[in-house]
Amino acid sequence: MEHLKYTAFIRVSGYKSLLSASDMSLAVTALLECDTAKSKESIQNGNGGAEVQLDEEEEEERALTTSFNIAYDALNSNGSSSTFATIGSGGLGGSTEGTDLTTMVNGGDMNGNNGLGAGVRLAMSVQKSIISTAVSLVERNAITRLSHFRYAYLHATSHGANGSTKFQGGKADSNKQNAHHIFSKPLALTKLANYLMDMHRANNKWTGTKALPLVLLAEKPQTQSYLVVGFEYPSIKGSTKRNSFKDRFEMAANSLEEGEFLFDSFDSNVIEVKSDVSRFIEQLHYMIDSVMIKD
Amino acid sequence: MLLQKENWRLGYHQIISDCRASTAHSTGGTVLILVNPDADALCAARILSYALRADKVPYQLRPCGGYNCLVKILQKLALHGDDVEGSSSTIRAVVLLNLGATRNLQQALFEPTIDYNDKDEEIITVPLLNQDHTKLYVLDSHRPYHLANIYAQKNIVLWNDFNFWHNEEGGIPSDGEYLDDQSDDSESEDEDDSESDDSDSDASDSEGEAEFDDEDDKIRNNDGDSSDENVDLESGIRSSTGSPESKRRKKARINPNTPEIRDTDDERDNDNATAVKKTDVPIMSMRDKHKLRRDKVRKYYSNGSFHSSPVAFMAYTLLADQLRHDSVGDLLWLACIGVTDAFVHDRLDLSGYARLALELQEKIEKVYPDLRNEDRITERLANTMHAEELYEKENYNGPMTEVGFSENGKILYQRDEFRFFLLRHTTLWDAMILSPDVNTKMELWRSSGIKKLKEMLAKMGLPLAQCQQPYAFMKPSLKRRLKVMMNEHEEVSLSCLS
Repeated sequence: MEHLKYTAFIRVSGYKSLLSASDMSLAVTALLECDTAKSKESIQNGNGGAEVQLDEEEEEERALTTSFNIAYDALNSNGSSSTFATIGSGGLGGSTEGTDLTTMVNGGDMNGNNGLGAGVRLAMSVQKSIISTAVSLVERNAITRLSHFRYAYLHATSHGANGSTKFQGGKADSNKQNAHHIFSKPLALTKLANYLMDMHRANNKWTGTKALPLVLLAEKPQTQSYLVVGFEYPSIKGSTKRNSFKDRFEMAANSLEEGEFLFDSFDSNVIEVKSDVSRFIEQLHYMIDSVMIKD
Repeated sequence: MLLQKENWRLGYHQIISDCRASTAHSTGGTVLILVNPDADALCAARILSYALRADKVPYQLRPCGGYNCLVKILQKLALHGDDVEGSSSTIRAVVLLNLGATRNLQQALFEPTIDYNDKDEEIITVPLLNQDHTKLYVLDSHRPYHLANIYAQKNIVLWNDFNFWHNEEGGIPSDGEYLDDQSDDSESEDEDDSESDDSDSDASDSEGEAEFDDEDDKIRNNDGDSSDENVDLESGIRSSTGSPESKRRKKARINPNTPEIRDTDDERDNDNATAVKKTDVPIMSMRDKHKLRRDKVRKYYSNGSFHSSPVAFMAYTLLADQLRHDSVGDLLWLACIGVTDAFVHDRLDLSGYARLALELQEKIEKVYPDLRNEDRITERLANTMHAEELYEKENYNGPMTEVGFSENGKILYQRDEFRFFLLRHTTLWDAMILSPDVNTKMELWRSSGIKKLKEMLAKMGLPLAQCQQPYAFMKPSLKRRLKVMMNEHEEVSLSCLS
């Protein structure tokens, strides 16, 4: 089992506990990407009952700020009280910040419902859904191979387990609060892609001419759009490959007359498609095709 | 501008001198730190804010998940005006952590935006940031940089780790047109007038000429050598801010005394692309040179995006090597997390991780010098796990922990850590099943794979019941056996795979 071992960093974090850097990384990432009911709740608590109507964007921004603060706090290795209390509540966020901080400062408490302990548990459940989603994609043959790349849909209603359930606008509106789709977050999606690639590297199914990049299309129920992310497929495990999807996505988006495309992420292999996403994938195929012929 | 590794502290000192309330007439300012939502950037934010606290500079932290969010945050700042604390008037520095380097920040933040309303009237919005007042500092692992950021004036500072990332495509293209790789060169025309003359000091003029010659050579030979001519290393930030002048601008202002370079007005009119001709190098027409540069820029962008060193590592390098915060274990730990995070998320490949891990090990040995003399670190590690073992000794009456206070906070490194998933917080069984590496290798997602795993554990002499205990409560003897067995039974495990 090559690559099964690596040099790890481990910290003695107090009485009888050892923490490895990868544990920290996974837990913090999970805290960042899981805008769970809890984080929403704590926002509402912080408002002191003041009912303020928020539009979606603001809500998303608040959710991000909350999970950011929780994750930032969890990084505090000695578990002492947080530092962001004094700095996070500047004039920028207005009254939305400065929530009741005492509930989330137990960063060092492994058993707490907040902080690192929660992060570890979240990371575990995220990892479980990554594996089960990947397996279900493979078993359902839900990964389609085109001549230049592979692609697969991840629908919110199904957690990827049932691809035939199509998204329905009205239905999603009613339970928008609950529509929680872990793969609409880029880091979880990246992990899923990496797992799928590992899987097929191990069973030698994606080798030679079948070694193709992978495009994942994850539904974002909140904004009724799709997060489309392109991953290169390095045929050797542990290596990286430069990602050319920025140009490809741009070409496809520019050549389509209608549709809304957002290049919002700072990762250039990510595009958000607010229109007919299957049309976009089709166009992506044609554009790559035409470039290949030219070369 | 690019700030090379040796000069990183100059960027930091600039923040401090801009923001610290020192004299009677300056009230000081606030640093706004915008953080990309990933663990690496969070670690970098913690590291950087440590230094700012030490220097008594106020700062604000905000997550920033996308380009629109960045613009929105800065718009809000600009709107709030003078009356709100923490508004644009007091924000003297904006630090971007793991975001922004690939976008045209100069255009987006420092230039006025022109919009058209229904009646086709121009609406000009003031720039989001006032370049005389606020500077932008970017610490980002996303590559390639947008060239406009590199060749922006001193209002954008990119903390750059290495130039060698771009060796493959012949280095970073020189300044000039098409920084966007789009056929629109009107921008640089405007810049010519708007950008100040004060940066055009004598030093930068002569520097500019030298650079010009270099550039020509490079184009002629199509030399793959990476360029760091854009920062004047010796004279530091002040003069270096003047030197990355547009090559085009330099040509326009070239010293007429230089014999080699002749500035001809006719030519400038005829050939709108270039104004200067080098008479003693008639090898290539300006049009060809132009095309070469165009191609170079295109190659620079189209070669694909990738990641440089993790930002937490860069931030730690800045603090430890250049700001004398090198003895703080907490910061080193954050750097370790950042590097591991990049590795876990495949932003860093095996060799890159190995290189950084080695550097981190050296730093760990410096911060915790007693580690260096212990060649049996793993054994020591076993000792620190002693507290868990004590639960198993029923007759034990001594103190319940062997983890002394001196051990607390110590960072250890272990060369043969298994890539199991969250091993210390779950059972060995789950950690193996959830590990992407083990899971995919042994096909644990099939029932046949699970059977093989059971077989393997049995052959190693690890009872299944023990493997499904929380790892912390697994028998210590079995933990030790696991390590030995995994090495010895490499064949066993391999045969299970076949």
